[in-house]
Amino acid sequence: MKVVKENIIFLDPTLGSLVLLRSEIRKFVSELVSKQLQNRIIFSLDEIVTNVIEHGGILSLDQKIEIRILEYTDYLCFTVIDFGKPFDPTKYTGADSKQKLASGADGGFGLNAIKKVASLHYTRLVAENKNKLDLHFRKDNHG
Amino acid sequence: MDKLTISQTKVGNPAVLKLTGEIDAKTAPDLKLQMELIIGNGSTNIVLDMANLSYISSAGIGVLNATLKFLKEKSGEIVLSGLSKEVKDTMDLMYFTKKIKIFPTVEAALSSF
Repeated sequence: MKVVKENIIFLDPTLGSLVLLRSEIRKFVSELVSKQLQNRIIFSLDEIVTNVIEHGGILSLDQKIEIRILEYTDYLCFTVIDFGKPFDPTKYTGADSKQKLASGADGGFGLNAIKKVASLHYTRLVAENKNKLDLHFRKDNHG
Repeated sequence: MDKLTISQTKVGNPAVLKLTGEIDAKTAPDLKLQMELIIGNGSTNIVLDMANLSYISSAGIGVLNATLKFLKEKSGEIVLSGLSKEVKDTMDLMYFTKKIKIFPTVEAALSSF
């Protein structure tokens, strides 16, 4: 499969980095897919990186979060590599979003929403002590 | 536009908050604090004018959901107006549009109370 375009972003593990993340992704995808899919991609990456920052237990600003972006002919692949504690989002089985909303919960909706719009593949990079998560979005995914 | 600006364009009950920019995990606590302030001042019905809001994350929706539950227990409500297609789509993904009332304009939202 031929790579059409690629980019790599390194983020500080702080919530202040989310603005830069969204800006860089917006620049990359702006001419490639529909506005709806652009927003879904930005939302998905924002949620994944937020989760790493808030729950990954990263202790040092030097432990950057790496985002690799690859455009293929039919789809886009985003890879998030981080130093957070091991977490496989594909195995996350919390209560569904409808139940959480009904209970008045103030969080826990993001991951279920991402699974509706992207396919996820998780790998634990044991030797490097890192998480690697791939998110694939088909370019013709308009919901 | 990358930060969140919150301005109160109508005081009293209902109150109107105009949101400009983006709500993410960093800015969602600002929205929570602002709504707590106007609820503390006696407003139980709140219109959130989102015509200039370009992005919302699950953290923002979490703030809205928790505050909506709190206000409903006091016979109050939050309603939304002026959502962009993208913001509405994000809310759809989390089923939040089934739980909250959405209006095209602030005026329409105010007339619902």
